[in-house]
Amino acid sequence: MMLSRRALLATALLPVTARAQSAPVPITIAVSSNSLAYGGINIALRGGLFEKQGLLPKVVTMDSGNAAMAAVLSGSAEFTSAGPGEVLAAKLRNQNIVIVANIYRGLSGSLVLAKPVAERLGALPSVAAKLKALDGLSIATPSATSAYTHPYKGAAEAQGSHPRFVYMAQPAMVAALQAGAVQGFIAGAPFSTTSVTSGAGVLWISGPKGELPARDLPASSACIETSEAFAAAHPDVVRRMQASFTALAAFLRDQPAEAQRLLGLAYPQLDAATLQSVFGDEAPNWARPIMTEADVAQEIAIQLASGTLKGVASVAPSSILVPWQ
Amino acid sequence: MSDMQPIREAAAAGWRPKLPGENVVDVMLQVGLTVIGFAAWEILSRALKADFWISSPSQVVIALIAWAKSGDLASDLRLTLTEAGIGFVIGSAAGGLVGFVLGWVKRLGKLFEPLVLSLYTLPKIALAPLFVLWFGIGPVNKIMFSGMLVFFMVFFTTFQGTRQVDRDLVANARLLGASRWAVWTKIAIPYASVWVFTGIRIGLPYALIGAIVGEFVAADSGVGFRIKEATSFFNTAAVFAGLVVLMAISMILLGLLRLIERRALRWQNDTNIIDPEAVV
Repeated sequence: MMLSRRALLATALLPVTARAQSAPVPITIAVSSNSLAYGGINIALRGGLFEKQGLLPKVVTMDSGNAAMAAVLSGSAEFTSAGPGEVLAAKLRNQNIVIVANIYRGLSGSLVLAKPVAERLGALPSVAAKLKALDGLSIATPSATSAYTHPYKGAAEAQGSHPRFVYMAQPAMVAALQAGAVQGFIAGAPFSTTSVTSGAGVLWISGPKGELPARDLPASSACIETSEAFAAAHPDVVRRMQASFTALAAFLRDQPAEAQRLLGLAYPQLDAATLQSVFGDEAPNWARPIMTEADVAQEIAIQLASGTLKGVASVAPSSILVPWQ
Repeated sequence: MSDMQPIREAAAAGWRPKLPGENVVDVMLQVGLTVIGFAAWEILSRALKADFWISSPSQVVIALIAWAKSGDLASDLRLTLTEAGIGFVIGSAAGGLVGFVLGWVKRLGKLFEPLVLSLYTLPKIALAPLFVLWFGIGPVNKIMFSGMLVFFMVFFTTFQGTRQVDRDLVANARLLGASRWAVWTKIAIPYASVWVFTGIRIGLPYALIGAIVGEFVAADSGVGFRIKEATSFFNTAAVFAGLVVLMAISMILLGLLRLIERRALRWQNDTNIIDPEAVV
């Protein structure tokens, strides 16, 4: 009798459980900007790739990686997207944030100089000379711990050059350069491309093309992160998040034309030629979501070289990674 | 009228003379409350292991010492105070002058008040990025932003104060042969000055807010820049250190302003009764 009651109860609950499993899980992702480092995530959003994994994402664009990270720390977002630098900075303050997936492989930020400044410096023969020429220039960058700041800072300092970094949100940089408020900026496309195509700026060093010395090139410009507690409590949601980016990689490989169309919807300010060029340059960087311990070790090495984060050598790479499932 | 009459009137209005030692007791109470507040903060932070979220007084002191030792504290303070100070002077002067003119010349006041009011209702923080475009990332940007914030504070109080000048008194003075200059300097300006000082006192913290907001938006040094930088590193103690410095500056400046105010308005006694002998 007891058994049949249990069986009855199980039968009654089955549809509810099935419904619960099929209902998409609402999640909030706080991202640090709307630059093309997030092009992949935007394609995934418009292509419904998260929904196919049972996630219902809401994306909130913040002012910087720190602000995005703070959203997760405060519990108002389940996931954030910022550079590994912000994860390391949080870790050094005993905040356990873990990387779920790499959403931009390499360096997405390019260094753009104001046209008059670039003309004054002239055509320089090497990246090393270009880095050396930055000495004393005021260069806008998103924040002190941004994934864009420390590779350029470390590379410039290796050449004995000390640019003055000014922190501002990427959308403000284009206008600031045009107005002569700053002499250059480090930003991802479309902000970098906008300045160059308008004639106000000159592309001085390209991040996506890997022009910085290999020692200073990061493994990631943007990752998806969450709190260690959330990852432990909701491993299935984390797994679905990783699966979404695996699906994105397949989508980019199998349906590039559709992916480019979706990217165009996300960035309507890009003209057709720029969109095609940007997609060609950037798409491979959105398609390698697995972040390894070696990648984190490379990030730590870059931080050490730039001297931005004190004590970063003590961070174990595995402590800020969610294993790929 | 007996000598005690003004005191009796003041007492009826709720005023009473301070007892001997009352000031000392007040100060001791204030110090005691501050110490209790800091102790509670320290204990709470340690007990809840919440230093990441709220830091603690001891950590803030350590951050302050580190900031001072780095040599940046003095230069950051100098820059922020310069920006706020110049902005304050510009904003106060412009606000006082425009407020006085529009308050005194009623036709002009009616004409321009809605315009100034509509500008005042703008969320001025939203203008900060535009100030970067107009004035660059240097000190001028912060000076102008501070000046704008202070302007409105001083303008409205001066405007209101000037409008409340006793027009019958002005008319009588004119009938008795007072020149326009004498009316301004003997009646209008003393009347409005009480209000001007109120505006200045309210405006002073806004001068600092303006400089800090400007440094938040775009800067490479200054107290606001350090606070923003500390935020990037999730360094709560350094953020609080910046806030403590700002609070200390505000308190010192407000104290100085109070001294100036007391001196400038010495024709008013404690019971707000005008002392005709003291009016210059």
